[in-house]
Amino acid sequence: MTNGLEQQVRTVVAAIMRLTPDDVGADASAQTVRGWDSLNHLKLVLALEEEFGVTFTEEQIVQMLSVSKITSVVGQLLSAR
Amino acid sequence: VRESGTAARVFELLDQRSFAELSGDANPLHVDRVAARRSLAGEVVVHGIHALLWALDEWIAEREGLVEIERLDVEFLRPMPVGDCVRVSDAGSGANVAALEIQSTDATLATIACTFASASGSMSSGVVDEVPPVSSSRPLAADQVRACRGTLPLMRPATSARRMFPHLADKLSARQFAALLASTRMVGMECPGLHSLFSELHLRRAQTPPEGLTYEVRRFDQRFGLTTIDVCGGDLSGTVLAFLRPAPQSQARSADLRQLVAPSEFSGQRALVVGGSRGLGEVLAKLLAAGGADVLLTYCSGEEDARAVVADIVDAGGRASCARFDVTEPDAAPGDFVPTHLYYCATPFISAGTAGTFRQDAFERFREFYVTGFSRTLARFDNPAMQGVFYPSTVFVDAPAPGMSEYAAAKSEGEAVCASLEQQRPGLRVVRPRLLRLATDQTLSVGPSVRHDPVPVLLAAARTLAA
Repeated sequence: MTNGLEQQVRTVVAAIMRLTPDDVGADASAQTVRGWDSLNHLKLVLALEEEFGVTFTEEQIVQMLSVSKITSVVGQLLSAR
Repeated sequence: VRESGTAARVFELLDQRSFAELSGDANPLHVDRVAARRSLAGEVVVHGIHALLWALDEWIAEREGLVEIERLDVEFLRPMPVGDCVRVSDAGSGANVAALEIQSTDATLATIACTFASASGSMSSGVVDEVPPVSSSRPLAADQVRACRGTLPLMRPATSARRMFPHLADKLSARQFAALLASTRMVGMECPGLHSLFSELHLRRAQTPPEGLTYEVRRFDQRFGLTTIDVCGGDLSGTVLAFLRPAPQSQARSADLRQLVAPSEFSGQRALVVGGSRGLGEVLAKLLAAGGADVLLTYCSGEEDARAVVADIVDAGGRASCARFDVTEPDAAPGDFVPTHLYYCATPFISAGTAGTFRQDAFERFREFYVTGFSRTLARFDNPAMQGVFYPSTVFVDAPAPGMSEYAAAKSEGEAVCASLEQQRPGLRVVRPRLLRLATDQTLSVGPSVRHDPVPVLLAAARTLAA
């Protein structure tokens, strides 16, 4: 489940950062992914909300700076449904 | 410059003013260097629609016949600074499809996909051949943006349009051309207005009412100020996405800061605050004056801001004056002020780069302020009465952040200058805290972000220096 979710997250990250999914590893973060700036982070958040049908809080948004953190936050929101 | 499949140019401020007149979008972000320095972009940036029309004009130059836009999808990915060289490249265009990217040396700034259809005439009925009237950008708040709607006349002054975009002016439907001009006028002047940022444009050919471009906000996301606006007019219908970006960061008033400072805790200081018209320098100037210091704050271009800070201090009973000082032009230092304390807050716009790259030109720009400018300022103002120096460094020296390596590297060199100063001048106190992201113009963001109140941080630093 987590691996599938993580793969989905990586696909969304890649689409927003204009990369291929293979370019976005499980350890990818704003520190390592070219183009993950504040504007693209915002677009990423909106794309993730649409993809998973969730709404993030401002606190979650400022923390979601890596694939692993995004996967964790999305996983929590999906299981809380 | 035009080559096969690609063209390059530099948008100058004069070009921006011409486009502002043509379109009626005279938002300060695009035409006013002093105002734009306090925006999210930190400098004057090209209108997105200006760049779009240039790119389409280049693409259509070698094609024959009159055309209409069948569909148009544009994303403005990053601000396009005036004065930088940009390039439009073909990204897989077809006979009637322009697939284009506008790029800087290290990033894609905009993507364009435009499908054209043949047109039977110039389609200019309903279009006013005049420049839009001069007006001011509306400073709307979130609640006002949420309820925004209106109609803008379709205007396309033919002579100016032909001068700036000769091929497009001859070949593209005048109504559609006017609708594109109206879209930037809507975003920059009306909705979201003064504090806006054009993000995306998605239009389709449609039968539309003749009265102009009508617009209505369909959705407003408070978290980001993201505004989704339905537009219809000029034979086009679709959606504009724009941000209501944050206004320039205001700082605490002197009258309020006086509650935090003992009236004489900084008395006897002759404080020179370099870069005191806004941000950290503004807060320091107010705190020091509240504690009895005699303050001279300097500005580089923000004279009006500096005078407002001085007035705020004086109104609250403090002593302050201001003078122009550009740290990159050391010979132009203000006259006869002999400081006992120097607070060095001069900075260029702190632009973030791309993770994993190091921009030498950005590093040199930071270095000019944080190392060379700092050293020159010290050399110019050092005197036997000098007791303390404040140099704001950054937490990014300890904890690298994406795109901030050039900034951190230059600040680190500035710290080395501080260390050398301490060694050469025993008895001179030098405070160089590595500061977190504090709430200033430099840390404004369209989305949620963590920023700290500068007042307690700077008050603690000032007290350390005065101890």
